[in-house]
Amino acid sequence: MDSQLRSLLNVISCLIVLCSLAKVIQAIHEDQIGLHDWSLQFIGRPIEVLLSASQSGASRSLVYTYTEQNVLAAIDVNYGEIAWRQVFENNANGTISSAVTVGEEICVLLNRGRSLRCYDSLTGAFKWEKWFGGKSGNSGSCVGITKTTESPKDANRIVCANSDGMYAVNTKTKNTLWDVRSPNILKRYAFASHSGELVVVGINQDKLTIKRLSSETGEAKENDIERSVSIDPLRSECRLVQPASQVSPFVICYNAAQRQLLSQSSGESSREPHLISVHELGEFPVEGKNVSLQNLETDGLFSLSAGGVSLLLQIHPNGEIKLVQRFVGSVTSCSGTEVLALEVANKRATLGTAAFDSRGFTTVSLTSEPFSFPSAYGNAQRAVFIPRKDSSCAKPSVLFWSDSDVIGYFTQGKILWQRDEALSTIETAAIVDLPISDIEALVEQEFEEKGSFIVRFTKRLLSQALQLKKFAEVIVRRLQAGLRTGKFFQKDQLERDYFNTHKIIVGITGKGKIVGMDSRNGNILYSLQAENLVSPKDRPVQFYLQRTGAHAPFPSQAVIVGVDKKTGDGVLFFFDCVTGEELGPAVRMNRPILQSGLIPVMTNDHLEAIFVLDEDLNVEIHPALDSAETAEFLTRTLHIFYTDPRTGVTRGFRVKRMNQGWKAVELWNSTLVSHGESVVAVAPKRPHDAVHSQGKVLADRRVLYKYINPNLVAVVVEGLDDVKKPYLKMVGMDGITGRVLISQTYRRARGPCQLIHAENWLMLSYWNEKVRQSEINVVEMYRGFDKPNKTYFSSLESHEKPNISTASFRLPGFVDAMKDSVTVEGITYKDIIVALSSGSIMRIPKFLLDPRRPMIPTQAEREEGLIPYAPELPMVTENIINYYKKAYRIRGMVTEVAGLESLSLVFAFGLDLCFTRVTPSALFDVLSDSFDYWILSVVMLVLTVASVIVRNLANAKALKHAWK
Amino acid sequence: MMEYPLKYAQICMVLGSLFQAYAQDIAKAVSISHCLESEIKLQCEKLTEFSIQSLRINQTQTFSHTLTPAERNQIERASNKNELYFIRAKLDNERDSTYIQSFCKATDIVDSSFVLGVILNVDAFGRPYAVEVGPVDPADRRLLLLPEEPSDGTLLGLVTVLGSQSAPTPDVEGYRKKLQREQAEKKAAESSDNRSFLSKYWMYIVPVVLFMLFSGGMQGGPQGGG
Repeated sequence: MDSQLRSLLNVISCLIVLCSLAKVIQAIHEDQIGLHDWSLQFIGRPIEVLLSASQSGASRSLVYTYTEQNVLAAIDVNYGEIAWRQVFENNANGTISSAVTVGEEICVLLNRGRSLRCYDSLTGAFKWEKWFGGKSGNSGSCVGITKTTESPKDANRIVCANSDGMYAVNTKTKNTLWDVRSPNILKRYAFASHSGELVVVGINQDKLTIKRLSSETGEAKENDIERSVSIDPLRSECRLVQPASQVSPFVICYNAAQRQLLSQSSGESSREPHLISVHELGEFPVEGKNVSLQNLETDGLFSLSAGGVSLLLQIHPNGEIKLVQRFVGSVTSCSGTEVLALEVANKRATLGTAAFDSRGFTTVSLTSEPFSFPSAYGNAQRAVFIPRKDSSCAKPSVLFWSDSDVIGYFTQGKILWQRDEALSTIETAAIVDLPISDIEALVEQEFEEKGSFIVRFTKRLLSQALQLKKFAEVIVRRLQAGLRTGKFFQKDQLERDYFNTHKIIVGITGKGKIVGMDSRNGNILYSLQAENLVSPKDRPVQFYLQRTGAHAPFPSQAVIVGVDKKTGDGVLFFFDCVTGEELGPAVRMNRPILQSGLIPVMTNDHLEAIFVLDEDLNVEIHPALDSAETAEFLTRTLHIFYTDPRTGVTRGFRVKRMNQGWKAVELWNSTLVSHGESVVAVAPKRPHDAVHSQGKVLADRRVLYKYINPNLVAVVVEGLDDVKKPYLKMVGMDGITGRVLISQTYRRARGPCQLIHAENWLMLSYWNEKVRQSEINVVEMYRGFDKPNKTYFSSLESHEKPNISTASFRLPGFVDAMKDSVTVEGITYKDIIVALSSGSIMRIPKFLLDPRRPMIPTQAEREEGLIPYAPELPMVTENIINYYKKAYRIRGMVTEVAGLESLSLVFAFGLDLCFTRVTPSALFDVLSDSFDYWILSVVMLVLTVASVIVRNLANAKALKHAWK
Repeated sequence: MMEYPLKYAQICMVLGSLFQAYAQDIAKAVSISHCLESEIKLQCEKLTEFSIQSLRINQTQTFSHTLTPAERNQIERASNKNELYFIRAKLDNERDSTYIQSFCKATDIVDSSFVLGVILNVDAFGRPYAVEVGPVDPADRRLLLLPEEPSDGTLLGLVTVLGSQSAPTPDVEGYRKKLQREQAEKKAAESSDNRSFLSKYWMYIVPVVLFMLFSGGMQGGPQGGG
């Protein structure tokens, strides 16, 4: 019976093993986290930096900031890392009007001043929220008041003022201590004066109101001061400045509309406001944006800064404002009598202190050696003194940030860390191939078939000698580096790896900052600023790769097409996207740009040309292609498609040579937008979209041929119908002839829309307002069962319309961005990469989004591999490619091919960055990382030995048998 | 009690806005004109005009335009030079500069015996937004609609109005019905099958029992013999 039981157990164990093998494990192991992927978290450009009194001098020094990207974050100043962060809604509801730290809490005023939310300042844990309610105002402000006594009645409190009134909240109990309702004010500020009383400033279009209240009871201390002034509440900033002790504080407002400073005493016997134009005080940038008004700790001093220039100003007890000093940089307080100045000149920065007392302002004395402040940083925007144990005015620690969104921390005479927050504002990105190694370049040169036999033979010998030399150099270099670092197999050079997975990620911000990142770890390789280049108002900057790094000895070349910051005219900026070097001066055009794109014509130095179409329909080609042959080719083949996002007019052009230049001639136009509609997405096909299969083989062995039109462009329009219900309209047009191939209307649907266009299908994600859920609609185009006669597609010769197959699916999540995976040959199945607002990036296999999925599949459909239709797409956690590393507010994604057919590289950019790789059909062309090479080797060895032994035994047996 | 007048008012508002939209549309007419690439600035000549009201989606209307010898020669010359032929559609209440335009090869017009296939694309609200022109396939049934036989002296046109499809919504109802049906079938199968455990699973039990019997018998033999 024992043996029976054993055999039964054996059978069961075999079955268990077989069952466990049947399911392919798709999840990654813990040790694989970060092996092929990385993610970076950002906070955006700070608006204000706050310090917590309870933590100053602690071992883990945190500074708090709230940013333009609606993020509240705590940064560890010792390392520059984000200790915690809270990402709020990406709309007016999440905009932070004001933030204060009181005791162990940090509170933010959100939702146009209607909601106060508090977090634990050490951990970022949510504590409580107070809803003030009221009408939709503009903003508000808060001030924190720390308890002065240990009495149980006394408590830390926050006083907030918004458009509807003033409120005091106990931070421990969340109870409202008092509130004063006073509506009909557009903007309010709350300040605490040195004497502890509350000063609330209200601004309307033509009136300035100052209230002085008791912070404990909310009772008015004196009569309100009302002054008639012309001030724009939406474009003004106010601060409270104390000119001297024993003098009532002054309210200083900067009116950006008229570029004026206004001062008004908060004292009862105050006179009319004092007005002064900023240009009377000193030379100040004309830019109206990002003007910052800051009060300093020193009595009577405040600063006004913009565009890298700060005016240190003083208010006198009579209300008069005078310039103390002008700085190219920023100023901040470091004590009650000393001012710190961060000055920037010639890519170098200096920190200096100046004393200010009754005798006046003593000149700035340097506190440190000049330190590097590269041009990629832009202008210094703000500097904040960080009080620490080891810092003083003579030896300051300063947190600064620039208008290129770099946050830096300067302490003990050096920059301890810096954060490039510009990466959170990337608008356009590309994944670029690295150049081949020097040895591979020599191999390519070796087989060039130019010259006679002897020349080629000599070249080959020479090339092989050079390869040997290079190889020796590489070995020596690696040995040297290995002895230095202890890592002998580390590739430190920027060169292509065997499977072409090592690339450079180029990110371009809307302000013309270009950042090159290593795809292995996200390290910044270079950062440069395109002078005065910004993105156009209606679209992001365009990036074109004119030459890859595969054409040694030529450098790789890319061009950015943007507009001039001042004039709005087109600008072309050329650079080497591997090294980040600028290639020649930027080309500045005289007119705004309508459209640009690559031309499939390559010059002798392997440079692909680009065209730029301007408003006057002039076409410029860079580099210039002057040969008659090329001109004829362009006249025949170059067609330009352009959709005006404002008017919705879609136009098709072809180019003609006119007076030594090129002119676009309109061939067709359509008006896709009528009253109240707007264009929300335009999706042409990827330039080199690899389609491996021209059709689908059905169960009855017939082939359903795909309609693959490389010139198809899809445009999505959003509007409101006659009963004010939203709708979307998707039109698929041939970009050369303007023929409408698809036209679909989505009722009760609205944006944000994400549109993908690949092979023979279009995919649109939208918000269905009726069911309040995200949906994805898929449209596939087929030409039918007749095999096309031609091996090429011509829009001019093709008059057929495709057969449309379409279906919609529900997605349990809100789509921020969507992209399809790409591979070298297009053999691998496609995955749809979807970035959700929850921070997850999910891959959805394309076969789930097949419009031919039948509700009840027939036998033939089952044979074909069609899975039954289900309206809801499953959220499979194994398919979340960034697993628990959330990436928020993803604006776009880039997918790129690797050297392996099974592999597609994915880069997602938004507030956070995320890079990873996907294998839609699993790694079928390479052994996986977990493959056990030792076992394979041992098995091979054993089999070889066994085969030798068995062969000998068989020979002996055969011999013995022969002798019988 | 208050709901009725409110709903009534809403219905009136909706109907009113629809009527307004309709009234705006019926004021419009679409004129179609043609021109050739050889002209320096396209000077188009009117071919025909349709009222929006008469346009029905997926229906075809015809027109004929007598070509002067000069016009015919111009088209033929354009065809020989491989030039383009343009069609413009304009709403009567729009400015002269606001039109929709399309083109085809002049050769296509000559090859199709001066029969034009014009497609007017209208959106879900009946507003024309794009026009297309091209040759008509000789096998096309719409040719039967032409008032006369194609000839060199007359330009004949078939104007078809194409509308916008409504995108499908996720078929939740169909899926729900399918699940219900499957559940009902499962229930029916379960309820109809009231056999005993042995009669239901004998095909699995018998091989296991046989296997155990035989393997036990094979081991038991030698023991008995010993």
